[in-house]
Amino acid sequence: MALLEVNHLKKIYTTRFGGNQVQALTDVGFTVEQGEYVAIMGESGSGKTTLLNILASLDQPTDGEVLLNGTDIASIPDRQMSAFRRENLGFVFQDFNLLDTFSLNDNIALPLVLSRKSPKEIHQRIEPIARMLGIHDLLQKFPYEVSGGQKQRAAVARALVTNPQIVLADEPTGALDSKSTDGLLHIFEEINRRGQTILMVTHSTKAASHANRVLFIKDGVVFHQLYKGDLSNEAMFQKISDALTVLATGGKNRE
Amino acid sequence: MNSLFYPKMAFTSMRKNKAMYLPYLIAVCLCVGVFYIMDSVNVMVAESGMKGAARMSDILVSMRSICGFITLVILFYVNSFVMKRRKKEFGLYSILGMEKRHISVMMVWEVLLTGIVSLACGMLGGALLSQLMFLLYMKIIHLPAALTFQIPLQSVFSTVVWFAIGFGIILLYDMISVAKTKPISLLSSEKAGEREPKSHWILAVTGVLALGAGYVLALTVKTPWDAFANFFTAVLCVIIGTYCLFISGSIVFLKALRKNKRFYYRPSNFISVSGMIYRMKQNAVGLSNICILSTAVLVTMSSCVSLFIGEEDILRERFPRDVHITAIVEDQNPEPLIEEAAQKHAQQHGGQAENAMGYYDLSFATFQQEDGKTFSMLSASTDSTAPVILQCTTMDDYNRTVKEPVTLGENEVAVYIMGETKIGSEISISGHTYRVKKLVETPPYASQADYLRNSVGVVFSNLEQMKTLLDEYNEEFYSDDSSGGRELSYSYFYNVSGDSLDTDAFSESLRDSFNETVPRLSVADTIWLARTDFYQTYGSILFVGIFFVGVFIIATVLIIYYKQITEGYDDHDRFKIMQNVGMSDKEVRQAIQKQVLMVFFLPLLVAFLHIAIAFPVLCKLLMMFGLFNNTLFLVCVLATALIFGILYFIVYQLTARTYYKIVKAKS
Repeated sequence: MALLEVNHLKKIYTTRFGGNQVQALTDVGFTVEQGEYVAIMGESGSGKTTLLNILASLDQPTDGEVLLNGTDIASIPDRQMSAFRRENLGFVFQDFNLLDTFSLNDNIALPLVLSRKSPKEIHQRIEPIARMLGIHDLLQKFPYEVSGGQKQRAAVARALVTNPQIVLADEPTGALDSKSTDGLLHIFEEINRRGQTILMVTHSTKAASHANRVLFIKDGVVFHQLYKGDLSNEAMFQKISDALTVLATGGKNRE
Repeated sequence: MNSLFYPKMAFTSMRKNKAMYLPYLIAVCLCVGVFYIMDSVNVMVAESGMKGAARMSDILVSMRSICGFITLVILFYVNSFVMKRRKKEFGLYSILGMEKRHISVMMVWEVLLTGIVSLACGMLGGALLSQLMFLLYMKIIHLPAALTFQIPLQSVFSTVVWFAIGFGIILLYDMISVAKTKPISLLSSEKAGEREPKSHWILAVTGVLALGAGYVLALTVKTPWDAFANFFTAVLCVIIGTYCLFISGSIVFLKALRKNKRFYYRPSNFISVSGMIYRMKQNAVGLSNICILSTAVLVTMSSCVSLFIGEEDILRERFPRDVHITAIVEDQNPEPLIEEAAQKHAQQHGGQAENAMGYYDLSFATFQQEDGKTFSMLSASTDSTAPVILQCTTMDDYNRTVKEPVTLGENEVAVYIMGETKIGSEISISGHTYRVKKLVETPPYASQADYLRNSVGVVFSNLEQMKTLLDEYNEEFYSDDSSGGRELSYSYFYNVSGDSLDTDAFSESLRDSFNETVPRLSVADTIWLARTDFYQTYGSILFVGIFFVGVFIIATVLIIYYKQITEGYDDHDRFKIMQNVGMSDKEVRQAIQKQVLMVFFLPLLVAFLHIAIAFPVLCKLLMMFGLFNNTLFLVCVLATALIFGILYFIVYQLTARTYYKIVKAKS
């Protein structure tokens, strides 16, 4: 059974006074297996963010279903939703979403505290992850005291600390310089190698080239997908670039 | 450019910032109203030509100026809040090509619009209410008055001038602050990097010391004179202490909480403690303001009300009977003369003098030597740190008024102590040694006011001994100068019965009637005459107190409101992140509530603590006004605290709703 199964997802936004309707997602369907590293690419307005919001259960689809481990996330009652999200999903955002009132340690601890874990357990869980991500020495610093790359690593640590089923990343390299981007992508590869499932939405060909599989979304449907297989990052980069060119020039001759 | 461009733009931008401007506008209206009402009531009082109008007018005018000054401070404070939030907007304007000069023109229009609207509304409301306020005032001072409608131009004028000056200063300040900032920093001024506040140990320690000093001063005060002398020092200490502790002590405390991992790593504590550390940095001053203002409201209201309610008590304290006569004793004892004159005068007015009480009265300041028994006389001009006032009275006078009479032989005295003085078995005054036969109860004619100073009542076996002491005293200090010496006096109190007694006529003719037969009359006063004075004085104090409390409450409410709004915007992003990370709506709501409750009820609790500690001092201060009824004051304090607490809670509820709306807003 697939870890994540998305079937016929459809999302229509209606403006406040019921006038215009915007179809963000038309019919999206795909599956993600345990241990996969999937990138979703698409231009602005292609519905990437809507898709991610629905997967994150921050938004409800107009039609279709999302199954995580066979459970329809729409069937989870509201009051359990936050706990479900906290325990099964990890988030990495473009702008880090770290709270500047917390030290990095406390930012990482936040989901655990919300799950009422003991201080001892919190410490035991943060310790190895922070070591792996190389921010062990920075834990007592505050977000405004560290670099963007370090902030994003703290955000990744926060996403991983609950041992989620799947990590959802929304343009994780969007606000990073190229060196930090390389570092972060390396980290993603590393945690994926250790078995962590990752679903990443991105603009960046480079980021996508590190994934096992790349899905292309255009006009609210999954338009195309590429498997990395045994290709090197560079070859994958080339393949994605080609696909994007085809996508941009119109899809008629995609065969 | 269209000539209506700036006014239109000013109007639109004010409407866009409704959440900020509307309360500001309402506040200005209220301030204008309060100022106008005080001024016009003063004019009405002055014009009414009633007795005592001049004194009432004095109180009103001086209080109006202080009130006016406070309202300007409030306006300034609120304005700075509004400006801080609008800097981003100004930054955007300047990036879009408006020069600072243009922004200034727009600000002129904004201030002009605000000024005109608030002056018009405030004075209109004020004009309607001032008539009622005047009636209320007259009711408080027990004078009949009819409802008239009057708008004194003089008040309109002074209100306009006062607030024009205020707005002028505000405008100048705003323009300078915009001119001084660069567009890019205007744009990003809200996002200025927030560092975690440091624990300022020095400030925290200063705060603890200052607050402690204030509290100790307040708690150790023994006599009302001490209270009066130390009150302002204590208030100053407490204010300093409050500010320091809110600014720094709170952060030290919160950081200590954060160190406690068991406490800290729990969902609601985790978020509120870390949030509070930041919040206290931005809000410490505002919260201390709220705290000080709340304390001021409580103190002002409870003392004014208890003085007003206690008027009769104060009167009874001064007038144990309706009429008070005092004459200086010379060679001849005035006792029979006064009794006769009292009866005659009462009969002239169709009544009977009855229930009389009279006593010889002599008091002088002494210094108690270290042996505890010797009392050396002090001249009135000598300063002494702890003088003991000797109240001398005779056995006859004493025995007439108490349940347990004493019999004293020659050179024997009985003593009653009003204050803290310790007396042994013997006392020695000016070389005469007396055996203290007994410590006795205080006679009813001893004034409560004697407790204000450290007094010792000495009951002598006969009047001659008192006269001897008096002569020796005057010999010692005033031998070369006949004037200024001490004198022995006889005080006489009595009631007048009679159904058709005209108290006004009685009071008016009193002095002349006694002067006919009684030599060296010093006091001839009635409770009826004093009552009018009392009502006017304490009524005016209450009336003014109401306005002060009104202004204080306006200030408190505004500070709370603007704090909530500012924090709402600050917290909006934080709570969004928390929701993304997996916090439910309910948890967000709980965290918000806990945090807001902690922040906004802290000042109220501290204010309650302040007034609880200040209670003994305030009691003693009220004694200076002649109010000895501590129970009354306690009831007033509790009632005020309760009402204020409820009011505070309502304001909190209303503003918390706005806060929650902002925090939960989409985008």
